[in-house]
Amino acid sequence: MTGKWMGKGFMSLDALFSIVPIALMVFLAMDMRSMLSQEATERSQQQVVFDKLVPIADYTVKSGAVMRNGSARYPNWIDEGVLGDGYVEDLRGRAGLGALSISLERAGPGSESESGSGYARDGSVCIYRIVVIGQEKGLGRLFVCGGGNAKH
Amino acid sequence: MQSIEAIISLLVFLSLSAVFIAQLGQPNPPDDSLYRLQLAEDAWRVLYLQGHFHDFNEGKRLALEEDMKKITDETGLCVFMEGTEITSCRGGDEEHVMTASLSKTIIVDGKPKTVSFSIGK
Repeated sequence: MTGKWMGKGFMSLDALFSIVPIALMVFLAMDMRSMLSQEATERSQQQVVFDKLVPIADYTVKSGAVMRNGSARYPNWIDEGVLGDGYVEDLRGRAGLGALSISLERAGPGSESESGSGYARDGSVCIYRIVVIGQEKGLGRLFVCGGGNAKH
Repeated sequence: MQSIEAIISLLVFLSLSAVFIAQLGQPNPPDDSLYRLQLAEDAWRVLYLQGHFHDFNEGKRLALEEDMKKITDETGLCVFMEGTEITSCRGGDEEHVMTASLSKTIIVDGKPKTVSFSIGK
């Protein structure tokens, strides 16, 4: 009688010792899966924004904000005067982005920073293009940053 | 015997978990190939606008290298012009990875010459 009960006790202990680690592993796996899935979604959204910023920047440096002389236009030679709020807002609306900013940075001491194209924590994405600015054709970078999809 | 079974089960479980997690944890790298080509074209255009390729000759080499270095200082990107052996970074192909290359034709000493214009890191 005693031996029978002891046998059942051992089986229960065995089961207990196997269920606890299995439950822990399942919990950890689910948690990790959820975390990875969230990261994948964020990355996918950033890729969508990146894919919208690339043609915006390309349009800006090739046609939208370039120096013109009659019918001739000079890609990568930026006319700063064009880059006003109206220009940016128009592109933002057409691209369906929640936020968009376009800015110029002239080359010089202090401008060499690690900041370039990349992803920010708030979900915004920045890319840059290499341009020349002004009549002196000084080297600079045109930054195009955007994030979020506009709500319709 | 039971220990062997348990060890085998554990190994199978761990290997399956590793494969599963590796598949989940390896997102596709962002596709920026078009953007890299655009940056290479930008570097070319900027140097062109600054007048470096108008009848290029050895006398213009230093000025071109200087402006290439400015691009490198500003962006961190190395600029290479294969065919003329002009670069903004020392080391060449062995120490740097080309990220985008364009084929361009310039006039060198009055003759057209095709060069490979690349950016890299």
